[in-house]
Amino acid sequence: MKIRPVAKAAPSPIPTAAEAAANPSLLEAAPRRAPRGAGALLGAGLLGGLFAPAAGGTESAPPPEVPALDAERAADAEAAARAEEAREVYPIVVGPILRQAMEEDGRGYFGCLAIDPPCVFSESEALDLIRQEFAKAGVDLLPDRELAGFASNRPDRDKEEENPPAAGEGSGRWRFDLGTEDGTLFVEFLSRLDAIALREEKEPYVAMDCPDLPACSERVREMMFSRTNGPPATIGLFFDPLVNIRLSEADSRNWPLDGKAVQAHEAAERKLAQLKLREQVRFFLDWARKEGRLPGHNTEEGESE
Amino acid sequence: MHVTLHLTERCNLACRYCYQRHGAGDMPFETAAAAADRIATGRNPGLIFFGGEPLLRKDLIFALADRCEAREPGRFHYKVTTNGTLLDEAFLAEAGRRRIAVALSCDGVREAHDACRVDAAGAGTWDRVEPALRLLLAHQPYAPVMMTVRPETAARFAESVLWLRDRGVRYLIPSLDHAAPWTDAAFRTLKRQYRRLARAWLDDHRRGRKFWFAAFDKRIASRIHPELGCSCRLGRRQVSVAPDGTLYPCVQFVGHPEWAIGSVADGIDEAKREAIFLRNEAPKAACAGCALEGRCHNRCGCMNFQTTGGLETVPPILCEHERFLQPLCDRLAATLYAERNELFLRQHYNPAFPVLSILEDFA
Repeated sequence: MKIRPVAKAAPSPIPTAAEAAANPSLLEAAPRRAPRGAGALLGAGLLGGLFAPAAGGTESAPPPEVPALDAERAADAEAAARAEEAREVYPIVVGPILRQAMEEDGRGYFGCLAIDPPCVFSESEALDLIRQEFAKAGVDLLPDRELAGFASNRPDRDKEEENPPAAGEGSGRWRFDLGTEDGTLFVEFLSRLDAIALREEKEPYVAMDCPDLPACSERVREMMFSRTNGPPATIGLFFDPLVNIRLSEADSRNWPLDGKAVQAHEAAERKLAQLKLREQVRFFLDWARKEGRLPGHNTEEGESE
Repeated sequence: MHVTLHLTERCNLACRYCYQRHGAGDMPFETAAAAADRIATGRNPGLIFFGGEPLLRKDLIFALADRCEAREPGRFHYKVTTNGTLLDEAFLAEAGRRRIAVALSCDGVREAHDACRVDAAGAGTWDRVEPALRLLLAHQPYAPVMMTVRPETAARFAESVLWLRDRGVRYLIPSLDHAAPWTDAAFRTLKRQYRRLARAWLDDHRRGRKFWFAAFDKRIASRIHPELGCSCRLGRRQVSVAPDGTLYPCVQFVGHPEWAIGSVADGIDEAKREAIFLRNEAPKAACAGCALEGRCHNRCGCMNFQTTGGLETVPPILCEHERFLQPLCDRLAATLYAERNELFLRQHYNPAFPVLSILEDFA
């Protein structure tokens, strides 16, 4: 162990209290679809009063006026803003996940997969369903979209802890299941196999496992940090609800069920699973619409439809 | 100004990492009263009851608080830091009546706690402290818990933090034992534990669950409120009073006469206090040019003294710890800021949050 001075600290996109007090729009409930250069607002922070009424907030709204500061501080802020703009750092915002899903779904089963399996979606089946819901909202998604200039925030890599990926220095890529053509919105569907792949301890693939897709979605969310070239990205994360309708006492006693009963049981599980996945997508779409984060729906709620 | 009153040198435990010099000395009432009188007219006076184990002197705690209240009700604030083994219903009822805040030392789950917090016979004290924690939180739901982390307990760090959180602790202040023999392997273990805690901390914020984890929250606060700084302002914000009335700049200097800065009877030797203060504030040569300066605890005089015997050098474990933890905390903050997480924004940008939060909790 050594004492080693740090030559340069990673820049932080969060404003200081003084900067937020001077410019309350920095603390708006959710970030707007930021125009090019919005990284400047996030990184350098401009200046106004704490929790004062939010300024405009739409894309076309002019930036709030900078109150008088001492000249040196203002020059510093301006220089920082210019530097930040030059770096074109944009946050990646992961949409919220339906709380009900986080609390109830995505765990599916404990024990033997062969005896009491949940409904497990295939990737293509789930992606079809997600695309349908987005299409209903007027958003076309294309398969296999790449987000470049991606800076990871993975908390489980020693190397990155020592040398954190600073905003503006991201060079990674993330290939998403779906995304819009303009590169502003991406979708990732987390399946049971994703949960296994993302586990810290690799375990052999066996019939008995206990995936935890809500935890998995949180881990993926933590990996999203920023991108170095615009436009800002919004991510929709959805996971397999892994619906498992428990057998009744009578059916349990009569296991194995006859073919028809098994089919009926599986059909009921699939129907419920589809409903639950659609609910996750609709919840995200509602949020994205309200926040002006749906491509082609950048106006305030109610004006886009 | 606060004074930390070392009410007694006695302790009913023999914690393996304790830095206090235990003896048989007790502070006379007159000494404690004179110390209180010295700060009574200052701004925001506070008495911190310390030891040894201060609850061996419950009588003195109450007598002193009663005296101060009789003089001017509500002027002083009081805090006691205890190992919990002598906490009981009667004490907490009386403490509540006098607004004495209680902070508990607890290292978490049994395996972590009993590794170091033992009695004179070497027996673990978790069985006595765990019920005390429940009792304390029933009386003082916002009571802070102080946790010490050592190499041998590092592997239980996350488990211990989450256990305390799940018992209802709202304010947890973990500290590394910087004087412990930290190895690279032990520190790697600690880092893994922090990462696990980072995930839980993010999850708590996303679920709106309030839990102040000083290791993260204080470092994030130092980014958002750089004006607060990290310096303890050695000897200026608080002074420690030994049982015999000698004054010291902080708790770990008590019993080292070469660091004395006066006495209750004669007052503070300002020249000596200022010399120690300036010596502590001077830039550390080993830290020259470090970008973390200002947010690092390298000016904790107590810690530097305990680990290096002086004020000019910092222990390497501190440097490793800060180099790891500050970027992690910054990324946690950046993540929640990008999401405009409501709890995070209120906690760190709304100065009224502590009060509003309590009102909200009881609504």
